[in-house]
Formats: sequence, C-alpha cells, structure tokens
Amino acid sequence: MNSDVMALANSAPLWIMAFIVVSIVIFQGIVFLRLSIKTAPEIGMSSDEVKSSIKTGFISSLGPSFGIAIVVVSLLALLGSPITLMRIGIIGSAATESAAAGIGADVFGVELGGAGFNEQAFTTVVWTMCIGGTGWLIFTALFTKSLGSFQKKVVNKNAKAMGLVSTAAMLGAFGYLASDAMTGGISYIVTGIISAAVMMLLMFASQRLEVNWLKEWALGIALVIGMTGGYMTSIL
Amino acid sequence: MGMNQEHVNARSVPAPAKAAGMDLFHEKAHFWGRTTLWLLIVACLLPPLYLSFGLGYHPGWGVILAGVVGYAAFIGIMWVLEPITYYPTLGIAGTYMAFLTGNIANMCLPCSAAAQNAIGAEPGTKKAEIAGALGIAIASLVNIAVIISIILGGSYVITMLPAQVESAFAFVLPAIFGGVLGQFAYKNPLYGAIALAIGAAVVFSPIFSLIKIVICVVLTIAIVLFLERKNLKEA
Repeated sequence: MNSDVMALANSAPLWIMAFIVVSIVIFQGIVFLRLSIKTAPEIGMSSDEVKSSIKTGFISSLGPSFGIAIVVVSLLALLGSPITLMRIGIIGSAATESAAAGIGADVFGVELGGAGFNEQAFTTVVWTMCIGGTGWLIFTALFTKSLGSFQKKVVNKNAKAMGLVSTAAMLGAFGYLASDAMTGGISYIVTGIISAAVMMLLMFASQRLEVNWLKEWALGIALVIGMTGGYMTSIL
Repeated sequence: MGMNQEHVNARSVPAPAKAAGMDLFHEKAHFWGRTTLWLLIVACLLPPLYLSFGLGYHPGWGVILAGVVGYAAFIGIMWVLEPITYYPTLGIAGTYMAFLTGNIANMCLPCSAAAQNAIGAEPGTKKAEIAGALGIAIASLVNIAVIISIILGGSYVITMLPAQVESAFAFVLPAIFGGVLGQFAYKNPLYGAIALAIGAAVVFSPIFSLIKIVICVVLTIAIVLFLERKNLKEA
C-alpha cells in the first residue's frame, strides 16, 4: 500500500470510529455478564457454578484469541490498524472479511495493497466490508426474537427434543468444521486427532479422579497439546 | 417455560426453578441485544461515510454497489442461514453476543460449550443457557483485550514470540474444532462418530461450499432425532 493510503488507513478519525465499535462490544459484554450473573441464582445455579463458567470461558478463549491476533497482525499492512481491529478482530472473522476486502478491491480494478490501490480503492473496500457485514447484524437484530418464540414452542411440547437438537446442531457443526480444518494435510489431521483425544482423556480423568478444575482447563490444554503435535509433525 | 423443562433441570438443580427468572432474562437480553446491534450497525456506517463524504474519496455508488452485490452473491445466504444454524446451541443471549463480537465458530461456540461442560449442564437447559452466555461474554471481553494490546503494542508482541510458537498457531483451528468435537463425542461416542462421518463426506462432496455446514447440521439433527425417536415419545 502506498504511504498516503497507509496514512489515511491509520488516521485519527478512523481510530476513533474503531474505538466506538470496540466500546459497544465491551458494553454489551458487560451488560450480558451482569444479567447472567443476576439470573443464575433464580434458576438454581450456584455461585460456584457461575465462577466455574466464567473461569472456563476465560481459559478457553485465550488460545482462540491469540489465533485471531496472529491473523490480525498479518492483515495490518493491507488494511491499516483501525479497520483490521474493527472488522477482523471483532464483528467478522478473518475468512469473511478478507473475502469482502478482496471483492471490494477487485470491483475497483486493483489488487488489495497492490499498485493503484489509492484512497478511492481503500474507500470501496471499507464500504464493501462494512455494508456486507451488517447483513448478519440486521438479521439477528430483527429475527432472534422469532427464533426465541419458536424455541419456546418446541420446549413446551418436548423439552428433551430441544436438548437433543442443541447437542446435534453442535455435533453437526463441529463435525464439519473439524473435517474441513483437517483437509490442510497430515499435520492438520494429527492436530485434530490429538486435540480430540486429549479432550476425551481429560474428561475421563476429571470424572474418575473427581477433579473438576480439569474440565475448566480441558479445552485450553487440548489446544496447546494439539497444536504442539501438529507443529512437531510438520517439522519431521 | 413448561413443566417438561423443569423436569429436565430437576436432576441437577435442587432449587425449584422459577420461570420468571428466565423470562426476565430473555426480555432483557432481547432489549440489550437489539439496542447494541442497532448501535453497532450505525457505527459500522461511520468509516465509509467519513471516507466518502468527509474526505471526498467517494468512489461512486456504482462501484460500491458492485462490491456489495458481488459480496452478497457470494456470502449473502449466510446472513440468514448462520444465525438459524447456530441458534440452537447459542440461545438468545449467545446469539446476540456471538454475532456482535464475531469469530463464532472459532471462539464463541467453543467457549460456550466448555463452560457448559465445566458445570455439567445438559444442552438445552436453562443452566446451559446461562453458563454458555457467561462463557461467551468473557470470551468476547478477553478477545478484545488481547487484540487491542497486540495492535497497540504494534506487532511487537507477535515478533517477540519464538518462531516455533507462531508456526504452531497455524494449527489452531483443527486444535479448537477437534477439541470441541472430542468433548461432545466423549458423552455421545456414536453421535460423535456419525457427525464426523457426515462432516468428512460433505467436505469432499461437490456442494456449494458455504452451505456445507448447514447441510451437516441439518443431517446430524435429523439422524439423532431419528435414533432417539423412542426416547422422545416416552418423554
């Protein structure tokens, strides 16, 4: 990217707008955190269970967050810090947002960060990412309530069915995501298998030995051992 | 919430669950979820408007429309399918948070599932919904803290990492997805195997790649419900 465009992409007004976006997300996180903590005792969840959920969320999010941060850093040079922060760090994900950026640059007739990537090209990219990403936001803002009423009907009819649908949806999604992530090659397959095996082992151990904190650390530990295994395989 | 739901909870929850608590939770979740989403939609429009009209770099509506239509043609179907697909696992509060904070499959869902697992909450129960919401809320805040400190610290923090650690992060996705699959497969080995078989078959099928995940979710739900049809009738 030429230095004028880079200066624009990292200019103070864009930073301020990125921080407005960040503030909204932080605000929402805190509101839902407080709301959940307040509701917990009313539905028979002990304060130990609340603490355990929070602790688990914290431990489990560290690996994914660093993974996201590494992608963010690799894209800083293409889109500047504020836009990368607001689009890829939060709101979207690396895959969808880089696709939007690529399409935006393409309709302008240039390559992302390539020759001819001027201020107008950058503006086109920002429009594509920002409008494209609102699709999900508008749909969830409008229709989550309808999904909620539909769920209530199902639960009222058959609570067990809802539990099964919930588990099956998760299994289906992760069956696909795991398969897809493992198509990268043998090291990726090794990573996925080790991570799944470590997870099952830790679940088994925490039940047998009755140590509950193992469950809180399970995903974090599985992640580290899985990634290490994948890396070791890749340098063999 | 009906009596069936209470019945499911009764196994692990000694205290009588009050419907009012969860109804109030949903009411407030809808209000704050919608408010923050609409605020964010407005905030998202600020940067392009500023670049186009504040600074005068407007590339022309034709180009912008071409970009948006090109993107929508490629991914627009996911605007509708993703929220519906993930809703049964995320719940109301989880949906509002996950779509606002992004990174749903690689962060929000795994953290929600891990939190539910840590306290032994069965999916679909009130406890699971609150535990999942707590997991996602914390994950969202941690993610922002990590990303901001890394961006503000420049890429310095990342360059300080040993090269091996950075290379190992190339494998972060199969590690996350494998781990979550392992967690669910431990409790339901048969369903875990079915889901993985469906996933592998669909990955290599010549289907439009974006809807592959939806197909896997629908197929897995259908097969699980079919296999459990006897248990469901007794419930």
